[in-house]
Amino acid sequence: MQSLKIYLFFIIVFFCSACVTINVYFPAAAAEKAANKVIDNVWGKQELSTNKDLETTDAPSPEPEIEEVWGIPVDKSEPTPSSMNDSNESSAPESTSFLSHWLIYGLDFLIPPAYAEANLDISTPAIRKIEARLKNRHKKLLPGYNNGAIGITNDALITLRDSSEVPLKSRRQVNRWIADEKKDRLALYSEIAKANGHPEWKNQIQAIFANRWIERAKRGWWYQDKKGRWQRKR
Amino acid sequence: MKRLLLLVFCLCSTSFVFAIDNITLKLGSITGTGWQTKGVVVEWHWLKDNQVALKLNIATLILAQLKKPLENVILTCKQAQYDIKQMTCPLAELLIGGNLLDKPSINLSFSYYFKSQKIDFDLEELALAEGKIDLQAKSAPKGWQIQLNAHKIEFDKLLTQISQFINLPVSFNLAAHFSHLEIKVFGDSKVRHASIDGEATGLKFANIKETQVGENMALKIALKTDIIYFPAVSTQIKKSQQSLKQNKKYSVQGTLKINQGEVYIDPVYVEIKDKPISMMIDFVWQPTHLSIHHFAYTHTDVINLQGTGEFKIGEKWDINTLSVQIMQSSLKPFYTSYLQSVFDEDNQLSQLDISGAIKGKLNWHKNQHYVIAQLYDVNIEDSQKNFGLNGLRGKIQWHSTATDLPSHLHWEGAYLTPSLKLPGSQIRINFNAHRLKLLAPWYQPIFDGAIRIEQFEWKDLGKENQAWQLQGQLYPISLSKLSTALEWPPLSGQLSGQIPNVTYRNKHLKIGGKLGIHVFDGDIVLHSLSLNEPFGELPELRANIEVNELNLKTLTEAFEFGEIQGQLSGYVNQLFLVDWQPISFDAYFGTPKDDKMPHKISQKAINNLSNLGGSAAANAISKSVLRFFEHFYYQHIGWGCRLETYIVENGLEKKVCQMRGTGAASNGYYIIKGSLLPRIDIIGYEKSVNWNVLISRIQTVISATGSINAPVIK
Repeated sequence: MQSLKIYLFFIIVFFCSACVTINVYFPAAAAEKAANKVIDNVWGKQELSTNKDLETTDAPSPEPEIEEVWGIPVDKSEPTPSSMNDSNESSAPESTSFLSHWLIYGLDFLIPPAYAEANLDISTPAIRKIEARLKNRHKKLLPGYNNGAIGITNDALITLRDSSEVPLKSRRQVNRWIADEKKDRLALYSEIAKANGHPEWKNQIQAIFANRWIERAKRGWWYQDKKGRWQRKR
Repeated sequence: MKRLLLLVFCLCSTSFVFAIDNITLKLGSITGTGWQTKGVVVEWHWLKDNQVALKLNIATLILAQLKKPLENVILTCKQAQYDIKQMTCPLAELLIGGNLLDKPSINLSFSYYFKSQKIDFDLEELALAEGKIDLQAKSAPKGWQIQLNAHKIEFDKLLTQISQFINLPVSFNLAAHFSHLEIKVFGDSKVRHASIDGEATGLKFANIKETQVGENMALKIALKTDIIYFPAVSTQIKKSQQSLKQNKKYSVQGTLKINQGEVYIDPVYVEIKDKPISMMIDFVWQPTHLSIHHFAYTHTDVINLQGTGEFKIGEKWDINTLSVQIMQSSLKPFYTSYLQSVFDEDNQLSQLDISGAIKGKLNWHKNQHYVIAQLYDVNIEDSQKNFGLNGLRGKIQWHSTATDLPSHLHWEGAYLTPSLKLPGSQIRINFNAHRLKLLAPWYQPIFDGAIRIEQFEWKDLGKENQAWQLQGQLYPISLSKLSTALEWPPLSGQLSGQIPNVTYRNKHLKIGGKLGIHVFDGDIVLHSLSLNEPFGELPELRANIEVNELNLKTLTEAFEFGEIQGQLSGYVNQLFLVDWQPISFDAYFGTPKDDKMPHKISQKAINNLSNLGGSAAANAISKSVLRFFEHFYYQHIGWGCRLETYIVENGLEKKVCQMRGTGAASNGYYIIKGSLLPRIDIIGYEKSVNWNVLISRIQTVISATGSINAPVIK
């Protein structure tokens, strides 16, 4: 009887191990990696120093016509003091929760097959073209990030946060850049989802990007926390 | 007030009988139509010689129009004079509690005439919103009038203070410094007339979305309105309140002069410096109808618009009729003041030099809309002189329904690049609703040839499903002139042939027949050409190309490749480009079978051909006895490439060209198969090559790096 139980146990274990259910989960870790890669390409690679001071290492240099639009000599590193007045300063933004990170990494460890190691495809011509446009536009938007005119929203887009920092003459142009940026970012999330055969991942990819844009934002830039309050990156 | 004064008069008239020195009346609450007072106390103190001192104290004054009551309103007159005709208080003081006024104390005077029941009321230097207000009011049984003069009022502060008591619309932010503002209102039982005259500086306004913004504006405004009451049609009235709304109309005349400032009404930005803008309007506003009898918008030396209009108003606005006329205006200031700001800074249309004049008219009726514009001697040039059009004149008409209104444009000359100059031409089109059609063939001379568009029709213009179609002809255009103008390598031959039926529908452009170019004494023919989403994110092109009997001598001379004599034929089949980058094709170019021309090739051409294959033996000739020969003879030249694109690791693309030649050789293929002595063969061993490497070799044909499988010269 005892040996029968043992046999039964082994038979159940055998069948359990032989039954493989393939579930396609959203690859959050891969999406984060892809998002970082895209953002580094668009904003220029940022290095995280010991005091969490993010400095752009290959940030694009501003052009004279961009300075004219913003009506200021473009300061490339530090934000203007005026944009700090209504600061509700905080430290780094909320990132994906600690537990969910470890859950993802834990699952990655326990379930080593193909998808856990797979990267998201971000190299289709459509994605590369959108990325190129975002990168090119970033040169134009950079003064706006620096002086607080533009803020990063919690839905992975941007908005005109403080219009008083934009000369009235340039308001239409800056609004247009922001509208184009939103359109391109939405197209980017959609294209990444499509390129990886899962158009339904678009919202999840956008949510990952929302976090990554904020995480990789430069010191002094403004972003929206999860409750929609404006915070300044420290 | 009248009731209160009457009460005071009664008390005065009775004072002698009872010889009372002081009276205090506590009236508690008094209610009238639209107002209520609570805690009213009247104090009365007789002085000598028909003089009294009085004090009126209202703890709470509730007015229907105010969202919160006025507290502690105290009127004090220390020395009022009275007689049988009138009572006068030359110096009274009014105190209003709360923060409505900058200074709670107001000096005023008033007179009441007992027989005529007329009241005169003067209020001086009311401190409000950092400014002063003087107010004069006159009231009699036949009517009343109020005149208010405000000085140095900060309008935003005024609105903030008023907003404590009145709900103001929040859809607009407004701030200004009114150096002077005069308001007059008069009426009887109803308001009959109101007027405003004012002068403001530093005016700012913005809507919530900030799509309509004004800053630093200095302006003068004059507005007067007559309110006309007329009997309402009883059958249409169900409620008394409705009848009140429906039986009056406002007749308004106004002028506004903006002397300086910046205005942004998306997408247009206008800066007003030394050329003021004047606006004038005369309209009648009724509950369901707005009639603009006349309006004018004059931007000095820039543009002058005039018009009339009839609008249906209410929950939904609609245009019944609208007529706007642009008086003849110079285009240059109009472009720099209005149009330039509409384009992005990197758009070439934002950097134009424009001269000439325009006149136009818009007529809008319910179902019929019509626009006409007349152009006079218009010159348009890109500021970098990259393109231009001069001497443009004519008439453009558009109608929403009529199909018989032609537009005609004529120009004296144009250039598409600094060197590609085109003589004058003209075009006749019909433009109606969403359709544009060429009414007569358009003939545009280009150098010694011309392009003639026989047919062109664009349907559903501006819509998602827009489609167009054209057909035409190219009369021989000298390629040498064209290539020089376009700064291409010098080409010989002519560009000519039929432009077959070209259609664009469902974002797909298709060429119905063949498109031929006669060049280098041969022909290049494009067929099965189609473009998917040519104006989209990733345009895709598919085509087949035939090359027939090009003269290699003229071809190689044009590109300084090194002389080759003979003919060249070939094809590029199933060419597929995405975003103008090649993805796949099968191409071959070689000596045609029946080529009767001499087959000779120069040393330079041999070196270049071998370098295209990445040959380390490029200088083999120069190091051998062969260097004494200028030319060599060949049987055949041939080179082919089948391009394929693979997706490799990380989703990256790899493009590979599978190469072939004119025939098989031992472990390779002949690119040149020589003939006679001294015989030279060029044999390629590299069967597949990275496309990008190949392109860089072509680009730098002389400096190609060596490769193990490079072609060798035997």
